[in-house]
Amino acid sequence: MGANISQLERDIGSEQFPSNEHYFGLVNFGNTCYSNSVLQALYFCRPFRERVLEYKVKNKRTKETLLTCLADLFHSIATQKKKVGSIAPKKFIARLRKEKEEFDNYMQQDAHEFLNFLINHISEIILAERQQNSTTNNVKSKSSGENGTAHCPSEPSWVHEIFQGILTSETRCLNCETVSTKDEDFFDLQVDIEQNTSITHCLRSFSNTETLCSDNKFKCDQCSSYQEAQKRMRVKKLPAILALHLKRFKYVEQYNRHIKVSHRVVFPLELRLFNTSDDALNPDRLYDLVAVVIHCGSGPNRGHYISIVKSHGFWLLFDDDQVDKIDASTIEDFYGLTADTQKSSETGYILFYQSRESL
Amino acid sequence: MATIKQGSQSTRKKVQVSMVICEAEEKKHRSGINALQLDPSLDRLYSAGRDSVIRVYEHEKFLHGMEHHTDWVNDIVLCCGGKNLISASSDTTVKVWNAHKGFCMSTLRTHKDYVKALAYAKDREQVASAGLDKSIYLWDINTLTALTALNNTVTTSSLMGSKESIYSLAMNPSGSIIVSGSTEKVLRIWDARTCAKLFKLKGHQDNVKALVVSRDGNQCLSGSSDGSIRLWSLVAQRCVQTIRVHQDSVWALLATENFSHVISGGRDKKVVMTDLKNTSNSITVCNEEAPILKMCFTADHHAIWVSTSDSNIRCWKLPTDKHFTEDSFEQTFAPLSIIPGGAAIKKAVVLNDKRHILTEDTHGNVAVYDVLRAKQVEDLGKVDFKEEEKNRFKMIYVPNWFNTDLKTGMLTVHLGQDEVDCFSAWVSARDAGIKNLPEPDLKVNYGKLLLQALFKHWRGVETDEGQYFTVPNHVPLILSEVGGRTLYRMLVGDAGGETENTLLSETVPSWVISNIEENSQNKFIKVQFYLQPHSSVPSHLLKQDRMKKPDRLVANDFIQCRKVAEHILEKLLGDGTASSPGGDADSSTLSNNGYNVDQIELTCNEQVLDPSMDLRTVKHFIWKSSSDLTLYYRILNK
Repeated sequence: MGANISQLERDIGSEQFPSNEHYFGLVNFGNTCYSNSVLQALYFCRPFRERVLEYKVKNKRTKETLLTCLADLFHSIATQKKKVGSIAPKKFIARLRKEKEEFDNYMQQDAHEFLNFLINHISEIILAERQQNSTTNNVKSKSSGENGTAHCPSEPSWVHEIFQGILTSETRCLNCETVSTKDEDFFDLQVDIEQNTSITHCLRSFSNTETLCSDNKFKCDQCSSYQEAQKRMRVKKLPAILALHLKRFKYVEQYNRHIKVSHRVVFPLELRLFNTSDDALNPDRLYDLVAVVIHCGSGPNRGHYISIVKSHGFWLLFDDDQVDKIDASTIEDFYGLTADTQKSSETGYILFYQSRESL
Repeated sequence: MATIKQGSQSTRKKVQVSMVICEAEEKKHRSGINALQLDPSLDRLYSAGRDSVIRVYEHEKFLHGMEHHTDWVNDIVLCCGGKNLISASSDTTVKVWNAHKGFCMSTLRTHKDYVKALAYAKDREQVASAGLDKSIYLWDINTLTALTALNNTVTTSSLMGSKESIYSLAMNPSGSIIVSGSTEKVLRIWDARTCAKLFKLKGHQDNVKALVVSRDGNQCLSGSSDGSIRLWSLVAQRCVQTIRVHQDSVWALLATENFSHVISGGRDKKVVMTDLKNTSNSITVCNEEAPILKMCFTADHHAIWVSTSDSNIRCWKLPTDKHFTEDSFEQTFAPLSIIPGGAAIKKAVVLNDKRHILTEDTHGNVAVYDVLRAKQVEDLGKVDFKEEEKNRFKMIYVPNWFNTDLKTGMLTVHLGQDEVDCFSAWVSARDAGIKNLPEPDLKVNYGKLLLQALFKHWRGVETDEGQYFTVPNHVPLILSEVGGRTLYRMLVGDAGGETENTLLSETVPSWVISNIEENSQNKFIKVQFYLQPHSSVPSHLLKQDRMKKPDRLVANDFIQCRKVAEHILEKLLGDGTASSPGGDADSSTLSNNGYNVDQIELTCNEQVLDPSMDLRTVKHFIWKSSSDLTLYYRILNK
């Protein structure tokens, strides 16, 4: 392992090696690559890393949560004496297994499910702690006769500020042609994929118009009755970090299980969204690809997760405790397969795009 | 009624019973009017729309209504020189009417979804119908009018090839050409004589909602939700003109007899007349108060009747050739005449007693309806709806036992056995307002009472207990598949007739019969709950094991807290064995422990419960959870 580490340092070159940056692999505790790959990707989403480290500094609480474990892990990577190496996220995994029954085993897990759980869970922890703070503050301020400045519980957490976007669904009744809109928050967009296309194409299909008809008509308030309607989903608020989940595991009734869809889907280094709503706040945001969680293998329950991240202008590949510098051109290898003959593939599964003007 | 869908009870979808609360004679349209037809020889105007009634006006005075549809009427066609009328409805049927006498001759159930449009070929007495099931059927009217109860098989030709829902349809009088408009955004053209598919025309960017074909079948006009009107040459198979005179979707079209001018009505509430030889020459006929749905010429063709998504029908003068050449049409701001419509109920909130419904109509009037009597009981005028709703709040909980809908602008009440079971509401006769009963605590069932009232005139249904509530005889009673087709519609007062009797026997679902005919078993709704002593209850009063685990009990959901207190006094504080309260206990209020029932105080979620409150109300308003209710009891000192 030692030889490999020095290899990485040599590849980067001591002069080019960014100061204050550490590239540490994460030890696998038995099928924990789903967690390792996502954690590495998140570590290299700069706004997220900064807020987690900030939390570590500010939070003096002793009570262990998944967030304190994550903060400790990030802190430990960021404060290593050595530039490269590997670290064992023992405490984090132990806590994760306590928090969620589904992860309390040594089986292969879905990296997207883990990401989804982690982001939601951290956000809940932050909101709960904030509420606790405000109640204790209130008690204090009441006793001192001052007005408390309690946080509104609906005020977004920093996790929301980073990952949360808003989707708006527009439904047009085909009888009265009134358009009604409904907004919903998202932390990531779950995108259906098509063979030999690009992410831009798939996002456009994501926003294609769907007709609600026959037994699935729309109850129109204006018409007080069920009518046909056209519905489409568009992005109204673009998040600072756009996480795209490519739906690569498809349930096939015939086999009674999920199979992997290895379709080739090109993901560009720069991305602009075209499926934004007319009233979108920031429709022209330009995104840069910063991290990709990659699934290697033939199915959801067999295979391996790795991640590639962009750091200080070059790309790194994290495979559990291994870290390698890679050429940007190798990213193409993770687009997918043009033909469905091969069973196994190494394909982009979760893409992290960071807004250029973000935060 | 010539045709009735046959089928055994078992193969059908679940059947529900509905009633429409309406006036004895619904003289005015309640809501939007989708279709207009004029009979010039009798000066009769036929209009039909969202309230499901087809109305006939003679010399602009209401003559009669033609009621048989159970959902929006989307289009009508007057044929056979005004003798017959064909109607298309969202109830998925096409109906054939005797237009002069105003009765329904037969019902065609071939379509599987809303029927949206009709087209008429006068020279051949043919009618085509089309709708959201993507199908177009061609009907021979002389066959349709000859249908009888015994001879009710009818053959039809269908025009194939449509891929999406059809919203508009047109034929020329000779029936050589038929054109359809749909969400496919194309016009599809067939030869109606051979049913051969001819071609399609592309150009519109959105749904095609209105069509007219010229007499010779060589030209066609289309109005689209893309806001444009297009003139097509069917000979050259191409668009020859695109006319943009509306700021929004074009929903209605009329062409002058020689196809020299087009009159268009839009979602922008405007009616515009355009010269087809010079399409930059157009004149605004009128600005209406709501989006235009339909137009038809007056007998002299000098004016048009216009209907909109509100309920009024107005007549507007048309510009003449002179106006087009001299460019001097004074747009009139007053219509020549008006047939005023009524108000549609837009909002309905079922009050907590689950018997009264607070409504607000399009004119801003607020009213209260009594479901059990199927009529309006209070007219509150123009008051604040929210305020009224708040003022009428009572902290009582009665389970839901019916659904409502307002699609026709009238209050329709549905009784079924699905998520909402119509037999779930039991209340005491006292609470139901039934007076002079020997037992005011006797439980009555709202659903059963209403069904008995609705089927009062039906053979075999006699309620010996006496009729507590009656519904007006003019109330329409509808049997339909849940979320689907209408099986049968008749008036409550007609249920005693011979034909009605037979048809009812075939359609009334067994769950209705078993619950209204015999003196059926009462199936009360149960609630499960735990009883726990408050820490202040002296332990010597309790049995030892009561200290450890709470008593889990089951009782009827309408049991009052007082009954529970009696049970505590009798069973839990004494040496008796625990059983469910509210059984045959007519206990004295004094127990052997010397405590009085008024000294037992029940709490739930730290709120003291009124002895007259029933358990379902406690669970709904105080416990606020679907999990089993927990009640605490303590003993108050005198």
